[in-house]
Amino acid sequence: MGESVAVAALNGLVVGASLALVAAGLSLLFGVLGILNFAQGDFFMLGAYAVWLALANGLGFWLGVAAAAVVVGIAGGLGLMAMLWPLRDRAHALVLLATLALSLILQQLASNVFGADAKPVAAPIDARIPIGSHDYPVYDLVVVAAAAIILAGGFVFLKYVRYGIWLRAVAQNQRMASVLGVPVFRVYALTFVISLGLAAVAGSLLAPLVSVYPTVGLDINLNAFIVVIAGGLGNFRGAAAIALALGVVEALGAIVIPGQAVQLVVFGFVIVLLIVRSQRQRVLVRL
Amino acid sequence: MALLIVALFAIPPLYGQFLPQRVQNYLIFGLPALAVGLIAGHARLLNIGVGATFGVAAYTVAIVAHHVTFNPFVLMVASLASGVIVSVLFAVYAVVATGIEYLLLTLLTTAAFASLPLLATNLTGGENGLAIPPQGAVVVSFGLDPIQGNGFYWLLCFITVFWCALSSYLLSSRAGRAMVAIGRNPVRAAAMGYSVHGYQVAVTLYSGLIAACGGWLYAIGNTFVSLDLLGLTNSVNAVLYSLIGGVDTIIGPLLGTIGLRFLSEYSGMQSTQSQLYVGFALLVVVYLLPAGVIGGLRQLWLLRLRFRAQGVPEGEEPLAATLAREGGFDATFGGVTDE
Repeated sequence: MGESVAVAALNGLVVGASLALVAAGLSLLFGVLGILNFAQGDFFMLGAYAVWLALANGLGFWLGVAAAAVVVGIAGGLGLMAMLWPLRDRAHALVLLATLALSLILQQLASNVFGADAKPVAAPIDARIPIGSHDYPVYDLVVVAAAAIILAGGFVFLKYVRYGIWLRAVAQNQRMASVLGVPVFRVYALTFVISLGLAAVAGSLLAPLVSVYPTVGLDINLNAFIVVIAGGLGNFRGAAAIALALGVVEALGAIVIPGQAVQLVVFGFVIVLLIVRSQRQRVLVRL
Repeated sequence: MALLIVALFAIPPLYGQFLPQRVQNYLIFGLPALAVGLIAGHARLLNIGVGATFGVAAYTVAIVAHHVTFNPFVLMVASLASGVIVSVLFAVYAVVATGIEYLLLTLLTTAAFASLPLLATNLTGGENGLAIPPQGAVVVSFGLDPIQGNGFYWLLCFITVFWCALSSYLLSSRAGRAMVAIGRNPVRAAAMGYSVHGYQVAVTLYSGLIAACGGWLYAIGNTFVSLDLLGLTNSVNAVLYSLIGGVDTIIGPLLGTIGLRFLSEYSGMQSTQSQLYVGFALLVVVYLLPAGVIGGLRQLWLLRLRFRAQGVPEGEEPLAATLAREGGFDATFGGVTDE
C-alpha cells in the first residue's frame, strides 16, 4: 500500500509539473492581457509534435524540446498576438471565439499533416530506479526537475529581470506603465512568446508519457483552466503550486475513490473557491 | 417572419421524410442556442453551461422512462423541472459573480455535470449511454413517431415558434426592457430602483427552461441519450450557434444553429475537413461579422437608414437618434460588451 501511494504521488507530481507549465503560461497571458486562451492546449500538442519530428529526423530529444520552446514560442506567440491584437479592446466573447477557432484549425491541421493516430515518443532516458517492488522511470523524475527549474526561472525572471518587472507593471496598470516608459507593445509580445513557449515545453517533455495525437492538449487544457482559477487568475506562483497539488491529489485520490469522483470533488472545490474570490478578485500578475 | 413560419411548417414535409428529420435536429439544438441568446445577448451573462441544462433534462427523460414510467406528461414535467433545478445553480452564480468569473463558473459546472454519468453507470448507462426501451419509444412523445410521419416535426415547430414568440413578447414588455437595461448598465438600473439580481435570476431560469425543453425534445425524438449531451462541446456549440447567428436577436441563434450544423454536416459528408471549415467560419464571424449574421444584416439596414437620413430636412429626428431607435445598435459584439 505504501509503495502504491508513493508511486501514485510521484505520478501525480509528474502530471502536476507539466500542468504547472501550461497553467503558468495561461495565467501569465490572462494576467497581462486579460486573455483566456482556449488554444493553449493545442500549443502543448505542437510542442509534443516538435519532439516527435526532431526524433524522426534524428536530431535528438533535447534539441526537440529546445526547438519546441523557441519555434512554437516565437512563431506561435507572435502569430497569436497578430491574430488577437485587433480584438484587444473588444468583448471577451470575441477573443474566446477566436482562440476556439484557432484550436479547431490547429487540431485539424495537425491531423492532416501528422495523421490522426497516436505516435509514440521514446523517452531519452531508459533508466529506472527501484521504489519497493516497483521500478520507477528516471525520466519521469527528470520531467519534474525540469519543470521545477523552468518555473523557478520564470519566478526569478518576473521578480528580478527588467522585462519581468515591466511585465508585472503592465499587468497592474498598462496606462501608467506606458507613461513611465515601459515598452508595452514589446512586453505584450514577450508575454505571448513566454506563455506559448511554456505550453510547448510542457508538451515536449510529456510526449514520451502520453504519446502524441492531435487532441492531446484538450484534457490538459481543462485542467489548466481549473488550476489557473484555483491559483488565482493571473497568479503565476499560485498556478504552479495548485497544479502540483492537483496532480498529486488526483493521483492519490484515485487510489481510494473512482477517478471521476475525485475530479468532481476538485470541480466542487474550485467552484466554491471562485465564488468566494469573485467579489474581490484583482487581475494582476502576482508572485 | 410569417413567411418563415409558414415555410418551417409546410416546406420540409413537402420534400419527403429526410428534410424534416434534419430540420427537426436543427430546431432541437436551436433551443439551447436561443437560451444562450437570451441570457448572453440580452442579459449579458455569458453562460457556457446551457448545454448542461439541456443534457440533464435529456438524461432525466431517459432515466425516468427506463426506471419509472413512459407517461409523456410525467416525463415532460420531470425533464423541465430537472433543467430548472440546474438553472438555479447558474442563477446563484449570476448573483455572486460577474464577467469572467461568471463565465468560468458556468464552464466548470458544465465540466462537473459531464462527469456525473460515469459515477452512476447503473442509472445512466455510463459510456454506453441510455436508450428509452423500445416498447415506450413512441409513447414518450405523446404517440407521435419521430421517424414516421410529420406529427413530431410539427410539434417541434410549434414549440419552437411558441418559445420565440414568448421571448419576443417578453423582451418587448416592460420587464424585458428593464432586463436589457440591466444587462447594459446594471449600476444605473439598480440606481433607478430595478432589482438587478431578481431580473438576472428570472432570465436565467427562463432561458434554462428553454434549454431544458430542448433536452426533453432531444430525448423523446432520439430515444437515446449519451455522454456527449452533457459534454463541454455541446455547451460550447450552443454558444457558438448563438454568437454566429446574432446573440442579441431571437431568430439569430436559430439561424446560427441551422447554418453551422448544416456547414458541419455538409463539409463532413464532402471531406474530413469539417473542423477546419468550422474554424475558418468562426474566424470570419469574429473579424467580419462581430455582431453575428443577423447583427450584420442589421448594420446594413442601419447603413441604409444613414443614407436616407442624409436627406432629412433640419428639425426632424437626428441620425444618431434614428440609429439608436431602430437598432439599439451599440457597435459591440452581439450585445456582449465589457461595460
